[in-house]
Amino acid sequence: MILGCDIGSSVTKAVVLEDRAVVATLRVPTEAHADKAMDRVMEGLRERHKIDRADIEETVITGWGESRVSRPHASQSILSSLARASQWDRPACRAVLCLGAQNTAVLSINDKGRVMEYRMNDKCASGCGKFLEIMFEALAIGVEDSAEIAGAADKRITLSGQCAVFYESDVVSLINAGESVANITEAILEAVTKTVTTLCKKMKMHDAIVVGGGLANNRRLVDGISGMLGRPLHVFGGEPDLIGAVGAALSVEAAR
Amino acid sequence: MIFAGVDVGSMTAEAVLIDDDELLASTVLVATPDPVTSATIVMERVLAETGLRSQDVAYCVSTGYGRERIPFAQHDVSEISCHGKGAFWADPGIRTIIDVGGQDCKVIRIDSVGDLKDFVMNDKCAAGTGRFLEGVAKTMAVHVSELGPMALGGVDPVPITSICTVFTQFDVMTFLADGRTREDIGLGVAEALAVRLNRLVKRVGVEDRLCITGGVAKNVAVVRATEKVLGHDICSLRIDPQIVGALGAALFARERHAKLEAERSKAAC
Repeated sequence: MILGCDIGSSVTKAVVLEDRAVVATLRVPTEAHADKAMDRVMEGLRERHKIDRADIEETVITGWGESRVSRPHASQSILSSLARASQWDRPACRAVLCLGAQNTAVLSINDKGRVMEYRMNDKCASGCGKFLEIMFEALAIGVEDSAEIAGAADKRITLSGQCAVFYESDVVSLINAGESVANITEAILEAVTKTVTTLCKKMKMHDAIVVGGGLANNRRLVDGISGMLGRPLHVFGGEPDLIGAVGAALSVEAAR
Repeated sequence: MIFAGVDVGSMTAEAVLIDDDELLASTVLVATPDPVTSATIVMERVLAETGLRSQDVAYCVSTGYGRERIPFAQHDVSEISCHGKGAFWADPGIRTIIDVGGQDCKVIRIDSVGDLKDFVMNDKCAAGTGRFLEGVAKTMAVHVSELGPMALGGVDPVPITSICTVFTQFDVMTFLADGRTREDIGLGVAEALAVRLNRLVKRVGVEDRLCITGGVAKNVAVVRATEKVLGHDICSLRIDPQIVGALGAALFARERHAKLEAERSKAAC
């Protein structure tokens, strides 16, 4: 069994692979501490999946925590993890879009899963998961409910700019002006759609495009980005947030 | 005669009362989401402080966020002009003002009579503003007013690579988890903010004397770090740096009232 862990800025995702197939998955909060997150992963695997440390041949870590775990482990860059997982899920994949908590990444890959080019939001959190979390906290709704709530929107509001802080105060002003939660939610999702699409357009993306990361669970966002790009997007596996962890675990076989 | 200025910002609201010569009273309040409500409350407070009534105010000017909607203000003036005016009143030697508010920072250049010469402001993002510091303080579970004194105790400032408010909050969490001291984190944050302000200052240039206004001027570590990066001394004003905008508005109120009176008496002749 191979354990792949994607220690993200918000959530640590763990996947156990056996013969390239997923046998266990787990999510624990990272809380800015990679070692503690790994302890929680091992504990969860033992309690919920009856998988012990001894059952695991190798552990591969990717994501923010890649270089922060003190226990011996292999590591993989998040970009190669995303590329590998996407082609595992969909062999024709040539581009990946990852919508994470603090990072939005877009990469083009060749037929061997090698990363050819990529773009990332490195200076600003606009359009990433944390950005939405801040907005929806102001609206007192959950990120996971937002797509459905936005479905009830009956008016188009355009929010401008990009900074999360400015957006938050715009959202508060809209609430105070009596605007409906559905309309504001839709406006926020539309703004994120635009930000992500702009990043995608900075690079040539060949089909097929796989989209992963926690925000890929949001149908409104994925459909919106797909519509704006004029291209189909394939949501990674059934659980898009596991993309990095799966890719990390797959690297062991690739190395053999 | 009494003149009033009210400045509603994104995080705080201030009101100032002046008479023909002096600053009478000032009040700072945490803003509500509605600028009209904030302006009304802060004005009531400053009046209550002095025992004056609203009808005692001869003229009122509003500035800041939603300034054109304040019902009791006869006139409104941009916060840029107000900060120039207020700082010049506090110290006529001032030529450059760095105003760091809750959500914006601007650099204002004024001439030898206090008139606006040039200005630049951050309009794309809240990096290096009060909200940025609030986010850091919240993550460290301290009050924003404690950040400055705390940072002065720092010896080895943490490197803040991105100044995005959201990213920095996560960086701070990481530094805390890594066992870095709050002092070193506070110092790293102050230095990062100073670098950001310096970049803004470079766009309009700097002429001595220089001062910082707005709530962030109360963070002594930011002020010191900014002095170091700029290579210029920063004067501390004889008034609360947070009320400069409202004071400027009150000074505009006095000027405008005098002008209207002069016009009225001319017309009467």
